[in-house]
Amino acid sequence: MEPYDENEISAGDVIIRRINPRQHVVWDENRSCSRISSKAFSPSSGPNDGMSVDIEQLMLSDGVDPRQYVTTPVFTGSVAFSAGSARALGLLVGYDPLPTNPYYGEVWGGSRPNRLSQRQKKGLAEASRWYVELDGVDIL
Amino acid sequence: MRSAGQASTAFQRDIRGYEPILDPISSITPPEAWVRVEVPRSKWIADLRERFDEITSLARGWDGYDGRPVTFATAQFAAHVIERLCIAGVPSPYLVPGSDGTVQIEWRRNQYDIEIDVLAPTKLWRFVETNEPETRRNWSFKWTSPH
Repeated sequence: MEPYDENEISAGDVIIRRINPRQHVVWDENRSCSRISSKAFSPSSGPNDGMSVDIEQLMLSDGVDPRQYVTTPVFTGSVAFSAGSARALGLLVGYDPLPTNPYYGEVWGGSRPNRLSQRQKKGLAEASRWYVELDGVDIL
Repeated sequence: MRSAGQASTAFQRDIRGYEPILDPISSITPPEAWVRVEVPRSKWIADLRERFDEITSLARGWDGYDGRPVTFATAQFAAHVIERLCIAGVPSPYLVPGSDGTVQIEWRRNQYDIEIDVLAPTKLWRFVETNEPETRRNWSFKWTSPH
């Protein structure tokens, strides 16, 4: 999928990123808490692959329960941020529906689609709130 | 990277009793050349041996999307980086897999947040941040080894 910014995704639309509780959570000795690693906000492989996300509005339009959808088939927690907050970081947000996930989308880096800068990863974490919360884990 | 019947990991020193299958059921012939893989031996690597095995054995889709396991080559290079960085008395880092088969080495202690993103063999991205207000700085650079 060629990176692009989808006009139909409005600034307030909710973008969901799944979090694997076993793989994405680290212990932060500085703050004595478990937190999500910045690595959780990283793109998939391939030169044009962005960070995998789910688009909430598409699920709601189909009458699908988003919280149930994003916790299957692999149980994950998830965080959510607005499309506008991602764009404010210079990121692109678009649809990329798959046969296995029609609500699938991607968040691409601006200059390098498959690479998010440290500032962008941190910005996404700061803009995120829990969607399916992992108990005892801080987002940032 | 497990051999049949062995409780082995990709990073253990020896696989005792391992016998290659020489009675192929396919047309693929047994390899005639073998590569000896250098195995890091520091305490950090010993601490992380099972974790390395876990992140290189993740099922496809482990992240809820199409996430891949960490590639063996990337994990092997990460192990060598960790071997070079190992300091006695300092706890071993965390290893966080990426959806694209990469791995991040992390420490979050002593007022420092240190991340080394291993993108491929010889390709690293390092990020260091200190939480001390007077010295709050970010450093990052791309590093390529000579080999």
